[in-house]
Amino acid sequence: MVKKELLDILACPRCHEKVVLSEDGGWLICESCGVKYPIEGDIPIMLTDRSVGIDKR
Amino acid sequence: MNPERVSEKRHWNDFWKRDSDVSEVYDNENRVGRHLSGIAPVAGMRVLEVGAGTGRDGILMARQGASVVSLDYSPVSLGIIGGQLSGNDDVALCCADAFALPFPDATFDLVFHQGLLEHFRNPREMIAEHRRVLRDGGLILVDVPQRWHYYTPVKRLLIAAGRWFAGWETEFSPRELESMLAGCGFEIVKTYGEWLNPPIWYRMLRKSLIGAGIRLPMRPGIFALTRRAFAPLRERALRSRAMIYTAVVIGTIARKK
Repeated sequence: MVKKELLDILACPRCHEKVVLSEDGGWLICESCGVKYPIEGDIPIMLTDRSVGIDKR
Repeated sequence: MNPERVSEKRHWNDFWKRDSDVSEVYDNENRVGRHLSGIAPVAGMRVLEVGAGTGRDGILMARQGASVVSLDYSPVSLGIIGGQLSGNDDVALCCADAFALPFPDATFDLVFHQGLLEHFRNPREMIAEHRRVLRDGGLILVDVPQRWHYYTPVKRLLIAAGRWFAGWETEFSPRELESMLAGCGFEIVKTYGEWLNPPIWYRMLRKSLIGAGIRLPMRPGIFALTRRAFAPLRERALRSRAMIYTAVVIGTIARKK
C-alpha cells in the first residue's frame, strides 16, 4: 500500500494538480489531465510515458 | 526520451542490477548529513532525495526524524531501497523523472541529490524543477564530481572509448556549481569538498578487476590507517577554499530566495 504521507502530497507531473487513488487502489488519477498513473508493487509510477487515459479504464 | 539526456534509464537499471548488493557499493560516509548538520537539523523536515540510488542518505535522515521521499527513475533502485527499510522508517518510494516531479509547488523543506546532476546536459532545467517543489527558504544540496580532479580526464577517456557506465557525465568547479545555483534563484549557504577514502583510483581499479575475476577488499587496512593518521590535517585543509578545488566531490548547500 502506498504510504498515506506520500498520497497526501502526490500530484500529476504534468499539471501539478493533486492525484486521487482509484477505487481498486491500483492507479492514481489526475482528473485535470484525464490520465491515470499505475501503482506497481506499492510504488507509484509517476512517469508521463506510463500514464494512461482515464477513458481506457 | 529527450535526445539531450544521454544518460538513460537503461544505464541506471543496468547499473543497479549489477550493483544490487548494497554492501558492494561504497557509501558516502553520511557526507550529505554531516554537511547539513551545521546548518539545519533534519528532524521534522519533509525531505526529497532525487535520484536516490541506494537511498542510504535518505534512510539515515529518516532515522534522525525527517519524513523522506526517495525518488528514482529506476524501479531497480527503488527495489534496493525498499529492501533496506524497516517498518518504522518514514521513507516513501516514488518512481518519477527528476525533470517532472509529481508534487505541487512548495512541498519540501529540503531537496538533495548526490551523483545526479552531472549526468544531464541541461542541469539548470533540473534545478529549476527542484526549486519549484521547495518552500520559500527551503534548502537544496547538490553533490557532484569536482572538475579539477584527476578523475575528470580519466572519466573523459572512458566516455570517449564508450566504456562509461552511465553513458555520459560532466563535472563542476565550486564556482560553476555556485554560479548555477545562484542563477536559479538560490542564496549560497556553504560549499564543501571531500577526498574519498579509499581513493577513487583504488575504487576504479577494484571495479575493473572484479570484471577480471579478482576481488580486492572494499576498504584495505592501509587506507584506514592513513585516514586516521591524516584526519586532522585533512579536515583543516578542506576548510580552505583553494583546497576544495583539489577535491574529487563537492557539494553546495543553498537556500531558495
